[in-house]
Amino acid sequence: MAKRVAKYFEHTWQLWVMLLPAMIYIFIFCYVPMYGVQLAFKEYNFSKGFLGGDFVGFKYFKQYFESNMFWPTLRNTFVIAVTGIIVGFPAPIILALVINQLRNEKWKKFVQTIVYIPYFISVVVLVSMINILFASGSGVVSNFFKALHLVGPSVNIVGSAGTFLPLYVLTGVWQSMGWNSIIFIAALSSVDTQLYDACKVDGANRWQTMLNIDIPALIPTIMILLILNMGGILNVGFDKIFLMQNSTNLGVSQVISTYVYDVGVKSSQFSFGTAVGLFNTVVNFICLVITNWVSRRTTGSGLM
Amino acid sequence: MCEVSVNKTWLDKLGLEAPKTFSELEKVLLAFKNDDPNGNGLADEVPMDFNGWFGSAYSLSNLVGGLGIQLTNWANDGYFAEDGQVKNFAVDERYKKLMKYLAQLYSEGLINENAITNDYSMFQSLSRGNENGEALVGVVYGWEETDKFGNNLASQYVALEPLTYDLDGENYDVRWTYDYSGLNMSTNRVAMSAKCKNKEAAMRFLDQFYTQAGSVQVLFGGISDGNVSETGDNAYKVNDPQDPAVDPGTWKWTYAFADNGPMYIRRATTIEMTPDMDNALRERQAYESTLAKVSESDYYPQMFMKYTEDQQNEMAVLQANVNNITENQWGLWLVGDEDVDATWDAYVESVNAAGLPRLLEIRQGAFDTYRGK
Repeated sequence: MAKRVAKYFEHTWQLWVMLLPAMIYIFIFCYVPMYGVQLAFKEYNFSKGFLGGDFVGFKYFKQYFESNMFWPTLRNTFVIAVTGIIVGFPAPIILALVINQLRNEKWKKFVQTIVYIPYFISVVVLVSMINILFASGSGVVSNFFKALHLVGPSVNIVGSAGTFLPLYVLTGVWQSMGWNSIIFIAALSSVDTQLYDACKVDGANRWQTMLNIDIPALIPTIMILLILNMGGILNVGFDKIFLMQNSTNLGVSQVISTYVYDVGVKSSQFSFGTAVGLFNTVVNFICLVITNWVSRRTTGSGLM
Repeated sequence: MCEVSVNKTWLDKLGLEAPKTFSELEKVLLAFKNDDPNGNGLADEVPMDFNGWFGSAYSLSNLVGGLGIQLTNWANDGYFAEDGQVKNFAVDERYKKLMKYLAQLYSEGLINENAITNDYSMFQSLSRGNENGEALVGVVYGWEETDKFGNNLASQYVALEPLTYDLDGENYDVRWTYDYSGLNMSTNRVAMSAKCKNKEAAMRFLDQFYTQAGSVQVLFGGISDGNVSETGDNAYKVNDPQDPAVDPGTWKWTYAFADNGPMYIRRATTIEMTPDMDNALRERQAYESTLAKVSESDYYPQMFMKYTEDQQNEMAVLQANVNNITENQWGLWLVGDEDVDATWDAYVESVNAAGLPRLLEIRQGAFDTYRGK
């Protein structure tokens, strides 16, 4: 047995050395801090440090489940996350399929570059842009939408509960669609050209080619990315929501992460904040496991 | 302390008097909106602007004084005292009347639509007018005129005396937020680690902040930097900003600890201040008679209240839950997404269900102790 292991490392030690820095990094920054999770079950007392404090069991979890903010935050988080996935997941796939159809190589590269540049805009700059461009009265884009009658004339796009979700999701799609399509374009470019030739010989039109060759080639990539996305389903990003929150849209924009900030950080309720955060992570994990299981059953491929 | 400023040049141009009541304010704002008082042919005037939501220093909630509610130190989270009782104006009938009035103004286009989404710097820059030096704002909430409007437009504005609510025939005793303790005294400015090796030396260092010269410099800037000069035994002079394009208030906040520093300005110290502070004092003369009405049983300085650790933890979570409702509802009423009359009862019920009575109970206990009862 030991001989087999030794032989294995003899052949592959270079690969393990390349992997080592990443493993150390993940160990130090992701696994070691996990000891802080015990804060969720303890009464945090800053004079006794992280490891001190009395054990209180599920007190803070109960406090969260019984508070009047439990259902609103959970509901808002789910709605925003699920809408984000439903709208934002197909978009890069469709974009990749479309870009793949372009014949001219130079034009293809040009379009790809333009389309993924918005990804590099920071969240703070993006929200400032949103506030300026969509401002009621002086905003260029809001006036444009009103002129096209896509939005009523008296609607304040940035200051209204009804427009928060579309604004959040669609600007998110605009920003990340191009970047996310890169991986799909790469998957499509690895399709054997012989398959396309065979299709042409069989007399298939573009639409049929796409259905029968392109999409099946993308299925493994799609399933893996879907699983990865589901793992983060309740991690509706704090930054963008926090910046876009204002008095009128609080009812739909108060999500778990901003609530944790409100109570856990602003009011120094560290144990409470940790408990809510832990709840968040456990739900994410359950979603991840379920999605992986479904993927295994239906398509045979999965992450775990 | 927040003061309300109105553009006197515009009032004179339109032949109007400064408003003294809520209904007069509405008429003045309508005139500002429709009659092009800045004379540039464009309807670019913003009749009334503000900053912050439910309760912040420069928000519309300050007007609740017009209905007789005495606020103290800009009333964090809406708490105030009346006849020795701690109350919260979020569930008060008078606040309901104020919100109906404000919703009416908003629906007539008299309040800046972008005020809810603007941050403080955008709020300040709108008050400074446009590129041609024309004023854009009619009535606005601020700290002091050069700080708000810049050196060029400050002369167009004057302070507005607190307005009285006159829309339902009842008599109200007008009050204005009393911020003296919040502005001149500070709590919890310095903390020292229990592990500090040489506590005595650290205390001697900290003590320097509270000396006469130290305190003046903490507030207005260093003597060696050229921002403050010593002119006598107990006398100091705050020098004009070294960059003439910057107003004194902004200069102070950039180069000194300013209001957030540890300091104790003695009564015996005389300080010759820059025009902005003198302005601030002069502008507040309009509020003196109103501020004099505050009495011991309706003065509620939240910063001096003491709570146990358990009480603080309990209040933190309950307050966050209450704030979620009050902050949200305030905005929905203002922009007209929900009707005040129709939703008031359900709103009060939800605020009480979120824990307001318990919060008031805890606060009442601390307030009684503070008053020595």
